[in-house]
Parts: sequence; structure tokens; C-alpha cells
Amino acid sequence: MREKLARLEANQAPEETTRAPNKPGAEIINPPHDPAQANPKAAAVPPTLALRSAIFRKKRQPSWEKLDQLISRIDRKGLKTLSTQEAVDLPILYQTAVSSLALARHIVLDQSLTAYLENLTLRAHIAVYGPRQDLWAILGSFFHRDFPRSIRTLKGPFLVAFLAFALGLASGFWRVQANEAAFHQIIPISLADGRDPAASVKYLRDEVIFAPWSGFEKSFISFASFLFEHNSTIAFLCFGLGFALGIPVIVLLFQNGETLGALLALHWSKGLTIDFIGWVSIHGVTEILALLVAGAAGLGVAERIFLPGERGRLENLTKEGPTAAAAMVGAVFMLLVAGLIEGGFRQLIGATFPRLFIAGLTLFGWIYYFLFFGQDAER
Amino acid sequence: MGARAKKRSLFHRHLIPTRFLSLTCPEGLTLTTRVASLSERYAAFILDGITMFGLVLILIWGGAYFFRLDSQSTITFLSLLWYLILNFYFLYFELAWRGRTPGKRIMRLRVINRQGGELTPTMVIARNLTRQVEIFFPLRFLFTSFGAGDNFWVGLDLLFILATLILPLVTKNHYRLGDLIGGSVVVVTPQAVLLEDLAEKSQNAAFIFNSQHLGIYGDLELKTLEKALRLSKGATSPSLRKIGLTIIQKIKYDQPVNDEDMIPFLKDFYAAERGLLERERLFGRQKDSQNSPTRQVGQEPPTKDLNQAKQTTTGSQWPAKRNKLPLKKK
Repeated sequence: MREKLARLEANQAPEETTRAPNKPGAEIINPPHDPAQANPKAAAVPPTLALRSAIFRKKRQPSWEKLDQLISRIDRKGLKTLSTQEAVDLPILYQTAVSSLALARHIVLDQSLTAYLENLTLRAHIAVYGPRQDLWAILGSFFHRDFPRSIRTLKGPFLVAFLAFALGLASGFWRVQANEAAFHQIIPISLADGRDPAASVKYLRDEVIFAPWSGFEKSFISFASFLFEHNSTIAFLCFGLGFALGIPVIVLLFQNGETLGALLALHWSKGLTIDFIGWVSIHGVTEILALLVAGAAGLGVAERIFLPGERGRLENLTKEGPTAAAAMVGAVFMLLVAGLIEGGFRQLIGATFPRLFIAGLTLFGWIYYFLFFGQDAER
Repeated sequence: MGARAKKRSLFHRHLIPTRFLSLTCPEGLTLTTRVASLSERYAAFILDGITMFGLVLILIWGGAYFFRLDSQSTITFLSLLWYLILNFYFLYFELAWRGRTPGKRIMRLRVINRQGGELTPTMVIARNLTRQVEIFFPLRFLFTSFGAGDNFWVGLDLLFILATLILPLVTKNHYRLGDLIGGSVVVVTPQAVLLEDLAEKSQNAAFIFNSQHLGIYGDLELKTLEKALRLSKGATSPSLRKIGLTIIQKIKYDQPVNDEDMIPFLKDFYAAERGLLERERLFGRQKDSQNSPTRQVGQEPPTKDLNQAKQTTTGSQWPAKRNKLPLKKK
């Protein structure tokens, strides 16, 4: 290659062969790229000659401009406005721009041209390799694939979250069983809503568990949205506290378990266990699963920070963070469902066995969904 | 020099650093883009906040008017609406608008995958979910719990807010917590315009240069001259005259050049010099500046990392000024 170049050069500028080879001093006094060392006046560079870079630019500028217009339109109005022909042209124009840039970096000394090409190629790169799906396709693939997959990925953290919750449940139950005064240590009076060891069986059964339906607006809009906000805040907290190495997540899950355990113990002592389970589980299955998923997402993040493994912490987070976030968004959606059931449907169904049936159905549904959806994409 | 220069560079490095990010595209080329500065991102965030607020107001008025809601329901409706918008505004726009929100669009910012591939929906979800935990919840907690006793938790909350605010200042490319988790980075993608070719103008050059005249300067001087010519926009400024005189003196140009001929002279010189340097490049010879000897192309490749180039730069201002591209007006 080098010999070839040298020969080519020799043909171009035969005078140069007369130069003394490898004489460092000469290089500085007479720049080596001076082909007319012997006779400077005769080899005056005719400036009327068109520059190579100018010809290069003239030839390719139309395709750059076309690409520029296409990208501007994609940026403004989205990919859908492209016609079929333009959609076919886009990658070709993009590759033309890439090759122009590669060439320009080596042969063009016009800063504005190379800067323009750098910018054009970058924008084209983003347009060509950017997200290609539209919103509905994204939603579809999220619920069909990403969400259940993320939960399968977070199996370990999910088990830990479940354990923390179950331990809390047991602890709450036994503490209240052993000493009724412990009830208000677990559930503050403001949240208990009259449900405490002093409450009568009648109150618990008729005013809480089988309370009459309060009408569409109050149940579906007010109460459901309150519940959704409250629960998803807890879920977000679970996820966010994952950054604090996950310990607060476990505490939070444990506390929620204790609350449920204490309520269970209360109804146990009043002989309302089955009715209470029906009342809680119709929405609780979805709600608690969502809480566990959120907790698992937080613990997953914590695991990545705590045990980075071979990769660095940052890289690890980048790799696994989106999985945890997908689980989290799914959990928020589950909480929306739970909020609608708790706020709206629960009091519409005024008997324990239908409630238990629906609870069983949702449990089966979620487990089936978590375990078996989107498996084809994993292979 | 000494102390002051050091102070300024410290300031620039830590408070308003200009960062560049290299992406390798599948075609094998390394593309460089400027990372959005903190001020640009805060501005975009504020713009988005205003948009969200406006959205809520319009929806509330519309809702109250069309559905004739009573005040209690309006408050519930408002709280739910605000909650939904707070949660899904960024998510929706960054998914539907390919990594941009209205605020980012105005500021010409864009979220991209920092490894150079596709920006996946889960990445967008990750960076926006974290936004809730980073900003909105701590702020809400602060407003609801401030003065309600429990100073320990309020203090912890304040500490957390402080930490999330400081994080983009200390991380390499102004990563927010959400960027760290999502694997994303916010960059500036302005739209550059292609300026006319300066060499094109001097087809009928009046000034003739021989190769000894042209052999003195290198790439750096050529680029500096291009910049000066473009900045002058055809008017002879004192600094341009000074440049011209310096060049005449340096290359020992023998013909007289009048003051009013300074711009044609410089343009001709630019075209001739560029012609020579570009031709030499084709033969594998490259001269970086007047002070450096000619070298083989590819012998010591010029530093690709603009972040390093900026710190070591003495002569070339180009990397630091890259954001001063000729931009398209909106």
C-alpha cells in the first residue's frame, strides 16, 4: 500500500525524488509536502481548480438535504408520516450520510461541513435506531411479555419479599393473640376506623364486612382513587427504598404483614375469620401480590447495588434496573385493579363465598399470568 | 495565569462542565454528541411542570363544566387527575415522542440509550418511575410532614432530596438516579445548517500563492481562519485585518494587499491553503499546525475523546465550542 502511494506520488510530483531522503533538518526548512522545491515560482498552485472536497460536497449534498428533511419530519410528526418510498429511502440515505462522514473526516478540512455531517448523522442515527414501536404496541408487548418476564427474573427477591410479609403476618397474629393491647401498637387508632378489640361483632359484621354499597360515585371515584393513591405510594416507596440496600423494604413489608395479622387475630377472636378472609382476599390477593412485586423490584435493585458481581455497580444497575422498573409499573397497574375491586365491587358482592371464589380466581389468574405469559419470547 | 486559570477550570469541570458522549453506531463509526447541561435539563423540567399544571387546569375546568361535579367530587377528581398526570406525563411523552417531552423538545434535548442502541420502553419506564421516588414523593412528604413533629423523618427526607439533587452534579454525564437505573443519558440534538463553502466563492482568485506560501500553516490555522471568516460575515473587522497582516508577514507574501482587499485575500488564501492541505492528506501527509512537523496520517491519531481534548486544549478551541454550531432557527 505504502509503495503504491509512493509510486503514485512520484508520478504526481517527480521533482520530489530529488529531495535528500530522511534529512530531518531539511524537513523543517523545506516542508516535505513542497513538490516544487527546485522551482517554487513555476509550481504556483492555480486556485481556480475546484477542490476535491468541494466536488465531494456538490455530489452528495442533495442526498444530505433529503435526509435532513426526512429526519425533521420524523422529529416533528413521527415515523408514520413517511410514505413507503421514504421509509425505504431512509436507511439508504442514512448509510450514505455515514459513509460521507467517514470520508469527510479524512479528506475534508471544511469545519462547517464536517460539523454539519456529524450532526446530520447523529440525528439520522437516532431516527433510524430509535424506538420503533408506537404506544399501543409498547403497551401490548409490556403486558404480554415484559411484565411477567420481569417477575420471573425477580424470583429470588420475590421469595424474600414474600417471606418478610409472611413473617409479619405471623408476628402480628401472635402478638395480638397473646395480648390484645398490642393491637393499637400495630394499627394506629386513626387507621383502625373503629375496628379494635373493643368493637362489637355486630359492628364488624354489618358496618365493615357487609357494609352497604355506597353508590357509584363514592365507591368507584372517591374511595377507589384514594386507595389507589395510597397503595401505589407504598409500592413506589418499596421500589425507591431499594436504593437504601433494601432493609427499609423488608421493614415495610413486615409492617404491612403485621397489620393484616393483627386484623386477622381480631376477627379470629370474634369468630368472623371466614367472613374476614372473604372480605380481605377479594381485593387483597391482587393488592398483596402487587405489594410483593413492588418489594421484589426494590430488593432486586438493592441486590444489584449490594452484590454487583463481576460487572461494576453502575453497569449492573443499568442491566437490571429496567427489569425492576417494569415489575414496578406492572405492580402499579395491579394496584389500580385492586383499588377498583376494593372501592367498588367488594361491597356489591355481599356474601362471603362469592368473594372467596373471586379471590381464588384472581389468585389463579395472576399466578398463571406470572408464570406462563411471554415465555415464547424468552427462548 | 496560574491560580486564576486553575480556578476557572475547576469551576467549569464541576459546575458547568461541557461533556461529550461517544456512541458507536452499528456502521462502525463513532458519533459524538453533547451531553445536556444541568441548566438545560432544569429548564426543560420547569417547562414540563408548567405544561402539566396547565393540563390539569384545563381538564378540571372541562370536567367541572361538562359533568357538573359538586365541589367534593371535584377535589377527588383533581387529586386523582394530578396523581395520574404526575405519574404518566413523562412516561407517555417519552414513549410516544421517542425520548422527548414538550419541555425537552423546546430545549432540543433527547433521551438516548447511553450504549448507543435502541431506547427500549423499559428503559423509559425505569427512568421515569425513579423520578417519582427521587423528586415527587420526597417533596410531597416534606409538604405534608413539615412542622408536624417527627423531625427525624423530615431531616432524612431533606437529606434524600439533597442527595438526588447533588447526584447529577457529581456523576460523569449528569446522570440522574433514573438515568443510572435506566441506562439512559440526556443529550442535546440541535439541528445544524450547512453553511456555504468558503472556498467555493473564490473561483476567480486574484491572489496567487505558491507552495512555499502555503507550506507554512497547518490544519489548526486553516480552521481558525475559517472560523474568523465565517464570524466576520464579509465585513473587515480590525481583528480580521490583524489576522491578514500576520499571515502576509508570516508567509512573506510579496504582492501588496490593500485594506479593502483583505477579505478577498484571506478567502483566496483559505481556498489555496485548504486545497494544498487536503491534497496532501490524500497522500498521507498531515500537518496539524504551524509548529508541528508534517506527519504520516494515522501515525499518532488525534485524540478522539473530546472530554479529554477539552481539558488538555491549549490552542484549539473547537471541541469546547462545538455547541456553537450554526443552528437552524425555529
